[in-house]
Amino acid sequence: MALAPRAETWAADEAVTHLFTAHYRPLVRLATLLLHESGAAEEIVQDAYVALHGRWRRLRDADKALAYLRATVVNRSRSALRHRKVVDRHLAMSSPEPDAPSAEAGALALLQHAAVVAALRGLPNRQREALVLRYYLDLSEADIAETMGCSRGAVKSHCSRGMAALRETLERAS
Amino acid sequence: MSRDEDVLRRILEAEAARVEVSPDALRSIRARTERRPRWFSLGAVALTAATATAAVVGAFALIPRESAPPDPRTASTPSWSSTFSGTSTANLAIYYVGDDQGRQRLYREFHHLPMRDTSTVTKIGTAVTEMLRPESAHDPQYASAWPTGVRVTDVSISGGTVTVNLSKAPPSTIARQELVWTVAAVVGGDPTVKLLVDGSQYATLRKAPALDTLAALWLINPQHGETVARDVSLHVAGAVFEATAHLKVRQGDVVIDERVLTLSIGAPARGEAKLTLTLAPGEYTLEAYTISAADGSVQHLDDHVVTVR
Repeated sequence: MALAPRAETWAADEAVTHLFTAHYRPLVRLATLLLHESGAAEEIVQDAYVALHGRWRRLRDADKALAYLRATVVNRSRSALRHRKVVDRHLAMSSPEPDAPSAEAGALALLQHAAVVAALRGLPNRQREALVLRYYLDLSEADIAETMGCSRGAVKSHCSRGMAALRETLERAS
Repeated sequence: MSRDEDVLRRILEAEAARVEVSPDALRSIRARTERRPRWFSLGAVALTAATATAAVVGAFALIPRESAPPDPRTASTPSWSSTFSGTSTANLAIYYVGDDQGRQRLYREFHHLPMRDTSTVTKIGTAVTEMLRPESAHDPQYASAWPTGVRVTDVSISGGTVTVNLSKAPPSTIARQELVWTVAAVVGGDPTVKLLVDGSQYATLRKAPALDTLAALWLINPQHGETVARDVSLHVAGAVFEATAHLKVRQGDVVIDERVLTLSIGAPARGEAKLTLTLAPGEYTLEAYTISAADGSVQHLDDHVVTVR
């Protein structure tokens, strides 16, 4: 990143501004993919920036700061999901299936796209995290391990199990 | 790359592209990071704490019934402020939420607080009021998980159960735990905390396991913002791998002292270590942390800025 060399001289406010410009939108998108809801996603990402502000003095490095933001977003999304599971279970009993795209709204492709997103949503949290970090953010195995706070071996197994679970839906979508 | 991976990549990309962000996000973040200055003396903190406590106690009606059955006369009478003299004080443990490796975990501070008497209910009421007071944490990296404006309206104890009546419900699991651990620090052990919101039963709470709730490592002493004598007593506690923690003393970017601490017991149990360092007068940053066995990175850092006089 072009801004990185000067990062150590930034004050906390400056760091937040620079890192906001460079990463806010992708982080909100990451949280949305993990949570399937953009309102809570923005809240979580903003919390992460506030936490980063308090921590900047120790980090003083744009790459470390980004790694910290990512890990914070993944962790807090996971907690938010854990919280919501209970609520969702109640909703599932009372409401019909969530809005699948109607036939006129789009082609078969859209339906298949929605099926993959739904299948991703049905995965265990860790598997979904590993897949999103790998295929959306294009992170290396080492970076995924750091973000998720687990070993590289665990990342490998989350990815391969997640892919195996999605395989059938993906093949229909391709 | 396999075809499946390609498809997944494309779908995630398309799904993400639909997400837009709010235009004033940076402003909301800034509003939350504009906090009080990091530098202040402990004297100033104690004074603020005393003033603020005195200001809120008007709304704080305590009903002492620790050993006696509830007395309708006391139940309807004294508001704290009418009898508040500030002559009694106690050093109370207050729990706050801080960030530990991206997770929300509890940290503990001791606050020296004035109060009407030193009964257990008064201590609980005072500790919870302090916990709820915005920006009351000495360390700006800790904060209460409760929203502003929540009041303690009643505290009572019966057997092993502490009943606390608050004006608002807890916003999160960590907020509930912050309350339970603060109450438990006064009464000791693992009490049942019955939470009422505006007088109606809201939840019955117990401490969640320390390992999932408390930050892995605490620098207990000295506290953030404290002014201490030259022989500085350090107290570190935590549940850390192989009972090993590190301590660094910095002045700006200059490292004055660095050592490895062996806590009394390793994770999952919570161990502690105490030591005394002699430091020349000045301002120091004390950092307690662990080093990741996987990649050598600094983890679970808790740091306090202190003044040696």
